Formats: sequence, C-alpha cells, structure tokens
Amino acid sequence: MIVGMQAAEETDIPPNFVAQYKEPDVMRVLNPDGSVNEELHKWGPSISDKEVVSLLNHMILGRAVDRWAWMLHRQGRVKGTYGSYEGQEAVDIGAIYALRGEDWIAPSYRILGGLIMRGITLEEVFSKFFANSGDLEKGRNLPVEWGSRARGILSIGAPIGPHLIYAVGFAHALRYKKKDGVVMAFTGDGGTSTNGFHSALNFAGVFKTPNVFVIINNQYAISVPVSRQTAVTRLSIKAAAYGLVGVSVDGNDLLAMYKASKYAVERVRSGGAPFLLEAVTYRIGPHTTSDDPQTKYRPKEEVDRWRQLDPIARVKAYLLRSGAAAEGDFKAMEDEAEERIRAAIKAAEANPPPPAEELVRDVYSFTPWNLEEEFREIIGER
Amino acid sequence: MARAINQALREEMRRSEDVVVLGEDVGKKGGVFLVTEGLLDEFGPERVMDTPLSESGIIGFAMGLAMAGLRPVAEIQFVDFIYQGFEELINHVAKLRYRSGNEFASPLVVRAPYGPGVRVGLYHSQSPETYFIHTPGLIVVTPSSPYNAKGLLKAAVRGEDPVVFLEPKRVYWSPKEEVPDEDYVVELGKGRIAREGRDVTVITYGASVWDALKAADEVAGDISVEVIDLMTLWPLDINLVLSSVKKTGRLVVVHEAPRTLGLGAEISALVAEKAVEYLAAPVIRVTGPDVPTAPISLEDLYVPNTARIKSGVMRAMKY
Repeated sequence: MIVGMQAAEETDIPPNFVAQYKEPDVMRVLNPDGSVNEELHKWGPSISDKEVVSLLNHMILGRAVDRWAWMLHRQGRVKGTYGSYEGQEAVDIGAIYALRGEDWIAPSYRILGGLIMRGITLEEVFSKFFANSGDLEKGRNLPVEWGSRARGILSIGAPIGPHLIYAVGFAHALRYKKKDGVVMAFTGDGGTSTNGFHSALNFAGVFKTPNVFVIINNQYAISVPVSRQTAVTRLSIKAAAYGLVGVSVDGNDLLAMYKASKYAVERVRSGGAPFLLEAVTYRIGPHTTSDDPQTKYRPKEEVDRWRQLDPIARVKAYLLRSGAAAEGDFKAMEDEAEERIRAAIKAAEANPPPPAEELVRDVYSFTPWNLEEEFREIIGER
Repeated sequence: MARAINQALREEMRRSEDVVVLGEDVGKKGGVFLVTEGLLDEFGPERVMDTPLSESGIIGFAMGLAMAGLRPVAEIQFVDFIYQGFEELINHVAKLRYRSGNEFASPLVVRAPYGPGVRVGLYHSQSPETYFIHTPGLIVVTPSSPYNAKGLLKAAVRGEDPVVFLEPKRVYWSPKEEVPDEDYVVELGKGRIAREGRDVTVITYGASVWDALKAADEVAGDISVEVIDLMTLWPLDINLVLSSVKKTGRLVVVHEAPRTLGLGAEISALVAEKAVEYLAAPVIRVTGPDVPTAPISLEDLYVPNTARIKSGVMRAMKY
C-alpha cells in the first residue's frame, strides 16, 4: 500500500491491483491576514511587490466593473444576462498574468478582470453590455462571452465545455506551426461534467498539447453544488486519468494563482505534459442577473464565511504588511477605477447599434442568395 | 469515388502544409473505406492523425486547428456517429464566424460516408443531411461521381467556410469514371445538368443520381427527362433549379433521406414561391420513408430505386 493513496473505497482485492489516487492539498501562499507561507513563497516563480500592486489595481477595476454591470442591469441598460464576478478576481488575474503576449486564452464567463488586463478596453466592455457596434463581436453575444484575435482570446459560446476541445486543437496547431504559444482554457466546476471537458483532457493528454486548463471551482453551477458534479473532493485529481499534471490552488490567493500558473505555463511551453489547475474559490454574487441564490439554495452564513477570505482584502493586507502600498493608494485605485468606468460608459453609450444588414452578415465568408432575399423581405424591400 | 477522394486529399496535402487529416483509423489502416490509404506513408503522423474514438473530440479539435489557420479534413467514420460531435459542429463550427463578428472562422471539412445501400443497418446507413442544411453557417456537399468528388473536395479544402462533405458510400467503388490527374476544382454552390431533357426535371444528388439517370434512360423512348445533380445541397443552386423547372414545367425530387423536411420539401416550397406559374403538375417527392433508417432486412424497399423514380416521373407526366 502506498502511503496516503486511496481508492474510492476499500475492497478485498490486494491493493496493488487497485487504481489509487491521492486527493492533493490546496496550495496557499498568502494567508487571509496577509502573511505568507514562507516555504511556498520561496518556491517557484517569484513576483515583485510592484507587480502585485499592479495586479491589485486590476482586481479592483474588475470588481468595480462587476458592480457597475449589476447597477446598469438593474436600470435595464444591459442587454441579455450578466454573470457575476465578485470574489473570483484572483483566479483569472493571477492566471492570465502568467501568460506571455503570444499565448492564448479560451475564456469562461467570470474572468472579466483578466480579460481587461489582457487588453479589452473598458469602452469595449460596456459596448458589449449595451450590445452595440462598439463590440468587436457586433453585439451578437451575451455580455459574458468574449473573443478577440488581437488580444489572443478565443471566442466562446454559452454552452459549457465544448470550448475546451477547440482550445486543445488550437494549441496543437500552434505547435504544428512551430510557434511558442500556450493556450490557457478556463471552465467552471460544472464544466468538469461535460463531454467537452473529457474530450479536451483526453486529446490534450494523447497529443501532449501546450494547454493549461484552469477549473474555476466556485462551488456552484448555478444552484447545483460541486458535490453533485463529482464524487471526488479535489477536481485536480481528474488530471491523472488523462496523463495531465493536476494541482489544486487557493483561488482567493493571488500569489498562489500566479505562481502555480506561471510554473504550469512555462513548463507546458517547454514541452511538458498539459496542466490542470483547480482554483478553489467562491461565487459571492448570484449566477447571473436572473438568479436568486440567497433565498433558494445557499445560506447567508456560507457567503459570509467566504467573504472573510476575500481575495482583494488579502492582497491589500499583504501589501500593507510589506509596506509596498498604503490605504491611500487603495483609495486612489478605487477612485481611478470609478472615473475610468464612468468615462467608458459614456463613450460606449454613444456607439450606435450595428447596421441592420449585420443581421445577415458573417454567416459565411459570403452572403448567399437566400440571406439576401430574406433580408430584403425583413426590411420591406421585397 | 473513394480513390478520387484519396487523390484530392493527396494533391491538397502536397499543395499546402496547412492541410491535415484526422479521424479514427485514418492512419495505418487508411480509413475503413480506404479513403485515406497511403497518406500516412507520404505525409507522416503529424499530418495524418489517428485520434481517440470521440466524434466531439475530432470535430472540436479540428475546429481549433482551423481557427489557428490550418485546413483540417476530419473524417467521421460513418455519419451516423456524428451526433456525439453535434454540439461542436452545430453550436460552434457553424456559428463561430457569426458570433465572433468575423474575428474567427473555422474553415474545416468534415467528411463522412453516408446513406443506405450496403446493408449495414440503422447506424451505418443514415442520411442526415437535413440537419446540416438547416444549420446556417455550414456548406453541405454531396458528390455523385469520382470526377466531381475530387473537384468538390478540393474546392471545400480551399474554401473559407466549414463544409460537411457527405460521401455516398453506395457508389464508393462503382460506377467507375476516368479522373484527370491534373489539378481542377468543381465550384461549390453550383449544380450540374447530368442529363438534358425537355419534359420533366428530376432533381437529386449523391448515389441517387445514378438511379435517376437509369430511370431517364429507361423512359427515354416516351419521355425526355432532365436530371439535375445538385452536388452542393446548401447553398442551393437556385438558378439551376428554377431554369430547369421553367423549361420542363414538371418536377420530381429524389433523395434517400426521410421525406419529412428533407431537401425535397424546401425545393418544393421554393419552386412554389418562385415558379408556380410554370408548373403543369404538383411537385412529386420520391424519397426514403420516415423510418429511423434503412433496416438490413428490407433495405431494398427503403432506397428510392429506378422503378420508384420512373413511377414518380409518370405521375408528374400524367397529372
């Protein structure tokens, strides 16, 4: 028997014939009070306090955009439904900061702060919320679905999971074309139940593609808890069955997210097996603007408990301890975020809706006769 | 036809390193119908990829390759297995250009043998072309002969849009036809007049083209039948359809797919909308019945054969 290893339950079969696994610990560098785990802090890729300050700025901006999105939605100004982001900022900002310019992101819904850090402008963000012509995707998609070739962000749709497999194909093509890029693909805990997740990890393992998968385990897929997605505790152990390296990370810990991601990205880049990172976090807000968690499926105490682990508060405490920033700096960041957001909303609201003919463009690389005909009927020019 | 498709793949792979082939058993085995035979030897495992047994994986992976600039040709062993990749094909490959505002596209080819006629039962005989025709964003192609199979596939590989390339397995090995060695393409979106006629138009595609030609031959003494081979099912060559119907005034549509909401339904509606004044008879459909697919035991009854096509032609003529 290997120490610490286990199967789903004990049997009479001699243990050496039984597949066994080990549920890993969750990597945490930064404690909730801002102190660090010295040993882990020294391990792996390092990050300067100056960089942490800049990442905090992005976390604050991301949270402020999220707050504004809710406000605008309540005012009826956001088209479609918006998915909340609060409490998860360390996951995507830590992970995406580990990428280089030539790398790619296959996004999931709640990674807005990281995407803004990657170059999506605030005006684009609000243009997407308003579904107007300022959106690269011409306002066709929900305000949580992003794609931008220039920023290295692969387009996604609403169904959970299938983007993971084309993220694997894309990564394989980068290597085929002798490019250095790595593709980081995000999904949620619910995503691990999908066909796409299985196909993606399986193909990634078989073709040894340059992929880092990040599971944002925020404990719920809308209302269904992670215990209904899987019978195991740590989602990272799913990596083992596909020949991937699996690591569980405290998703509310910016330093751990960055260090684990940076390590994974560079190792994968240099030809190592693909990585599966589980970021253990919590969705503080509702699933989307059409969800009502507090009265239906989770107790307030649970949310309060997670609020104590807030990722932004933790980074602030860390910077205060190290002396790299003071309360006044945080206040300035928050004020600046508000100012930038207000200006962006104003600019975005001035963008017109896409022209009517965009209804029938981009279905193909050309517009076939039937679409021309249908469009003429729609606008009354039959 | 299998050999002509092989030749098309070989030529396109020689033309551009971006063209890669993937699927189950496409490597050493050369595919269960030997369509990819010899490609592994010539181009190596990086360009001829045997994959895990996963249609969602094959189509999704190919989509990623295409998004990054490659020109993948993915084989689905039998189209009957494609439903496991439907999410990727229908929701992502087909919608990518539209949903991303033209930021991304997935110009890939999904090849799959389809159709009844070789007695292999419910899950090796289906004709699901309607699903793809009904999905905006996909081009749907069905060759009928070795010559047009080669030219159509080459056009599909070079195009900017995703193509579902349905190969009628019933005519993989015969009829045979001389296929030129040189490079040529058969333009997508264009049908052909397989046989000129004056009295009645038979519109069909795939293996049924041969049955329609035979039927036309057999009634040639009395009736002059025009046979249209669509080749590209969607976008439909509407001009060819209308010009033929306007000439003959009578229309029979033949396909192996189940009748209800088959391509025949759409063609009937379009002809009714655009050329009703030219029609001397109702549009007749000769199709597979609305059953799950051809049963092994009664397959001959399922497939629209020459006798049924002739009978359809007679009904149109006698109206």
